[in-house]
Amino acid sequence: MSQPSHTYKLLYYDIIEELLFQICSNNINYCVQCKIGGDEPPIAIWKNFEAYKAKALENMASSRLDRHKLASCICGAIIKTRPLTGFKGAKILKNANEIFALYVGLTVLKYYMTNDLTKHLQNTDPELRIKVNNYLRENFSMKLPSMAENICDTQAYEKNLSYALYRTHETCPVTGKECFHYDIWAYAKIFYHLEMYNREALQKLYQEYMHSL
Amino acid sequence: MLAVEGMLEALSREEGTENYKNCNNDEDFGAVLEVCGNGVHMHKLMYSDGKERTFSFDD
Repeated sequence: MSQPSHTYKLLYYDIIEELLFQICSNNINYCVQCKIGGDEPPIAIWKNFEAYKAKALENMASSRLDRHKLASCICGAIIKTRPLTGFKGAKILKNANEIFALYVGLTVLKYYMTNDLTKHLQNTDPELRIKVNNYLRENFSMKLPSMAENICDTQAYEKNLSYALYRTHETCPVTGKECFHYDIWAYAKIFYHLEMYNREALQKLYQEYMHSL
Repeated sequence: MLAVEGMLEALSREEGTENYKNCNNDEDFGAVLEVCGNGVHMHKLMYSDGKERTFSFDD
């Protein structure tokens, strides 16, 4: 049986577990499921991630998925796995896993965007590159369009998007079982637009930091 | 007349979806995580059994 790759372990420890830690530390009502389908959550997420990646690769000319599809695949995998639950039956947001999944996907993009900005430093000043990467990781939060930027919605973009992700679960009226229909490619395009939305702000912070050095 | 030039151009293309293959030249995800990540931290998380613990892929 195959094992999680080194890349997935980095993804889990650096992004997924980090965000789970922040959620559970920030609010005692949240905790992580002990087992999901017989697997520990990191393994359960990994299995779903691999399945989504395999599906996404079906119409790829190469074996490498781009950042938006990766973000979409891990987002879908987390929504399907649902690792967050209420501690001792505490009530949590019904779309908590969707919000968590969205920000894991956004963080994947943030790392790629940071890499784009700093990769030219690798040959000239690799230590500076590490310093800048650390600064951007710790000081830049990916944003979603604000209420002020809404065109017609009376609800926040984030709320609408996380609810759309929540609606990818549905009970089949025929079988009565849960049906999960997550569109990897459509959500990859949403992640593309969210990268574009955040690009200028990240570039601005990068330039301000470089000028301050 | 309503302007939809992009739609008309798309419909006039010969190739459809039968042999559609997406491609990209993005960076390797593992390489991006190595340089932009913060390394392995192994936080203690609270689990639904009421116990806090760290998770290791090596266990």
